Amino acid sequence: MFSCHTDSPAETAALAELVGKKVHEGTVFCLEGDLGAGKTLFVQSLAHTLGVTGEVTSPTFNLMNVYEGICPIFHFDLYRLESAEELEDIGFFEYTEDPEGIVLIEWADKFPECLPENYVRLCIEHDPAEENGRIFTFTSIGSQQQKLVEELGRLVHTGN
Amino acid sequence: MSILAIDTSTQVSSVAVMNEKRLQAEITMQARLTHSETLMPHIEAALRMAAVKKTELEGIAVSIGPGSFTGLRIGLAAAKAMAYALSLPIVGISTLAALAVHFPAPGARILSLIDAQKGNAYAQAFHMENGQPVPLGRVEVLAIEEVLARASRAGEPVILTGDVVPKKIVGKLVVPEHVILPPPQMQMPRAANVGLLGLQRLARGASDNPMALEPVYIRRSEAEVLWERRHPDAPKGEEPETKTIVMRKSS
Repeated sequence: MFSCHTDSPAETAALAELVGKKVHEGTVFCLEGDLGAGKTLFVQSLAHTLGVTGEVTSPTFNLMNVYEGICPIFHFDLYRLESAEELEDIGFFEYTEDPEGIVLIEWADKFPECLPENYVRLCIEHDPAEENGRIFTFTSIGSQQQKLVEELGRLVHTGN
Repeated sequence: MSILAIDTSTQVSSVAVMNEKRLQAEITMQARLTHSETLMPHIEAALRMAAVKKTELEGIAVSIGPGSFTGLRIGLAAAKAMAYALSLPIVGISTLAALAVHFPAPGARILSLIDAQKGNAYAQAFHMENGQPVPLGRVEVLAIEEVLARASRAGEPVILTGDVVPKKIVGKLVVPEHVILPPPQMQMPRAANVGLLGLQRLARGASDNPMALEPVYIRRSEAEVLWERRHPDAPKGEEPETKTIVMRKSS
């Protein structure tokens, strides 16, 4: 697990680009953070790094967006959902269990017991000292993403 | 009488045009595209290959699950819309029963297993009698280990089929000698099987209401989920018997 800090949306985008270059298919990211923290911005930059040319917007209403990049990208937003049954209804478990491509889930913390065994948890917090500052904390949940998170941690702290 | 048969209950997309005597055309494929992209082109292609116009069809048979919620709804939506528009009788066929049709072998138990996520399978066992899949019990949601433990105790050969076989068993779990893993093409659902059972029902004059036909959604019972929450450390197999709730949502 590691944390890093960004000063601006541009730096957040650069961070997402770094992650995009290292991430491999079959990875699930669970993004946690308040409204305005930058979850969707992170996803936009990550998607563009992965070759997505179309619009990347928050799927608050759609619940799930699918983008075509170098691999399929499934972008969920669980904000509007109230129960685990609703997750079943949208086939959530079919996408997250044995993921094809890359899965990004905003507001994943609403349903902690429904998340897959292996994923990267990404917490985004406002920096109390700086209005545009954000603190990103990456944690590997389950053993499968350990190496990726460690590698990202090394790259981030040698670069930024 | 030519009918259209559809199975989108798993990642396999299968469409067939057939009559009682002949499978005229079938497309069965498994690729990374989703059913919403592939189904209608496959239906068009199968009709064209069979040289059957959609207006010449006399019925539609569709696999209704259990299986992928999203896949089933795509197949069902297409089947229902076509049945309504073409004024055709429609029949919903159990995905698990259609899988058993692969193996009309007397003296063997066929165990159809469809992925229910979280290490579980939708499971139902059949004997094939006179070409008919006769269920040996209700559909249940069971942990895959439990399924294999029961199969091991069976006093007859057990043939496993369904998407659980390639996804969770082949190359991953050991099965005893009397439990048989068929080749990949017989682990997959096929629209031809759905069509066979569909033709039989249609011949008896039976059909379902295209406005009301829904997929078979089976959720792990509330009781089981709550029990597991209260006993997170209990070894599997100690839960109370799985109660199955079959929900047909009213539209």
